[in-house]
Amino acid sequence: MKSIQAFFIVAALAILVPLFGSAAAQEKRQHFAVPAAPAYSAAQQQSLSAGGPGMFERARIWLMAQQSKFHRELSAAVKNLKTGEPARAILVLTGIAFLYGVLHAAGPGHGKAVISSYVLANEETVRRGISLSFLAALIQALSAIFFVGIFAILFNQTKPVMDQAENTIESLSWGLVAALGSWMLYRQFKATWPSVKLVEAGPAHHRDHAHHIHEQHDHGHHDHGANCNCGHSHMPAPQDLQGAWSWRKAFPIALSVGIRPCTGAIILLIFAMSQGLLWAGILGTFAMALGTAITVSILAALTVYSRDFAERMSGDGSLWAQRIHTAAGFAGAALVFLLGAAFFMASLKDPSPL
Amino acid sequence: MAIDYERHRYRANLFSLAVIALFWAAPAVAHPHVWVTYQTTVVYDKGAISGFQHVWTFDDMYTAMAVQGLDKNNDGTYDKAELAELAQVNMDGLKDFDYFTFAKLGAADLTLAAPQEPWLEHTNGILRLHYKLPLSQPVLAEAENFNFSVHDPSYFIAFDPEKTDALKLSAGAPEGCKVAFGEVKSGPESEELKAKLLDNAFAQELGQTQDIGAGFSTTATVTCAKS
Repeated sequence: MKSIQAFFIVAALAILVPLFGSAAAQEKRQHFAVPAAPAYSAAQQQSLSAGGPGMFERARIWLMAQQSKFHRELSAAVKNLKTGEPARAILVLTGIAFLYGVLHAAGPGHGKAVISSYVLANEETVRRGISLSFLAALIQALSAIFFVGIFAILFNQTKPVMDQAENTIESLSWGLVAALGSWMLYRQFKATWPSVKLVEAGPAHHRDHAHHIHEQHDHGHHDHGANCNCGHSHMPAPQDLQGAWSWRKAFPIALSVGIRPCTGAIILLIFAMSQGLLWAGILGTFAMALGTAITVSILAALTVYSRDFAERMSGDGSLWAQRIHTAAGFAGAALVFLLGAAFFMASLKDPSPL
Repeated sequence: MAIDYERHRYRANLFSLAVIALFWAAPAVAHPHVWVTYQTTVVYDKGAISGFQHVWTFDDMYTAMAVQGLDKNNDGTYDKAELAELAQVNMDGLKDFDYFTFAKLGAADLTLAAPQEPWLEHTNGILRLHYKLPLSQPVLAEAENFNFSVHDPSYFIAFDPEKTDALKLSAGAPEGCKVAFGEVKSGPESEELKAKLLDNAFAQELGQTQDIGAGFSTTATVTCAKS
């Protein structure tokens, strides 16, 4: 997981983490109702202030502990379907699976980072970010169900075989993400330096808007009224990904992220199946996906809202702002690529101990 | 689509970056996918500590996953023979992780030899792994501060000691010796202790060792009363 740290360094180049971090950590702490820190001795206080754990880390550890708890409670919930009151058990199972999904997506190494980077680079709207998140989560749920259906039910395969398959799909998923990232980088490059011939001819459908050199436009950004007439895209990034929402545009990223089934969902499905309650596993998987989608949506929406906020804060159409904008476009694309590449590499050498 | 966010074009993806970075800001924290309750016997042989006898009990979800497809004769049970291959797969998999068993003499790491006699039992939907884990070189029974810890540094597997008799000494242990968890005990004995454990994890995390599992685990030490 060293790679995550590397990405952070990349991202940190641009960032206000010290400013923003403590506030967000504080917020996170409240949101997740982290139990109050225990009283410390003076010595401990000292050590804490000298580089001890921050609230953010504390929240993350708490997150991990909760997730671990939910994971365990899932099995009890499934078993209760047989012994307990069915209606209640279904409710509990769905609820726990949902919460598990919410927390799980908040952890590292998830598609959420990819989706947010993508949203950042592509100037996606809030609604589109949310749609993407839900689509990716839905694909992920279906992926887990198909995975179990094919490997466990149809072919009655064993765990080592399934691990292998899961790993292959994971590599494929991150490989696709990396490919998408490099494509985004390419588009960004083309758009930023339209005169540079990178490749003789791109795919046929690039109707390049590169001639819209955005420095030359005045789009009236000060006008934030409802009638703002900035109808066309002048983020010079992938045109394919701009404009009206369409499945065709959303699908590549959602699929890249979503085809990798969540291990937690697979375990739940197999366990439910072993209890003769496969349907409960499927129900739980969808509840999990809903939870994941919500977390990822929040992050994607935050990304867009933050941009809005920053826009209001910054001057209008200044050269500096445009440079930042271009840099962010590159950063988002680069992050998608780096995430994909690093997790792809990690997936190649990621043996499971058990 | 006339969404008014479209009007925001330039500038300021900075904040978005900040938001995203927040989620990557700290080192990754995995969360456990497998739970193991361990019972470990320190094995004595000819006046020396020769290694460990592990009994690891898996959680029911992992069990379902692990035995999937292994009921070859379709009799609804998983017998020792059907599970033999899995036991070997486990040994092979655990090898790269030092069997999650970290033995030390004082502060010096001790190396382990290949495990012996691995086998699995499946009862009431629970899988239990038994195996012997010898030390490469036996340690004198009287050696001071022989200690070990069973944990997963990446915390993919959550190791918890068995509630009772988690630690034992085999026959042949010198009179007056006992094994017990060290100063940091496991279990929810007190909130303060728990907080300390967490801080331990934080410290390790911040120290970039990524040794998260250890923060939640315990080190067992063999002590012998001087006679």
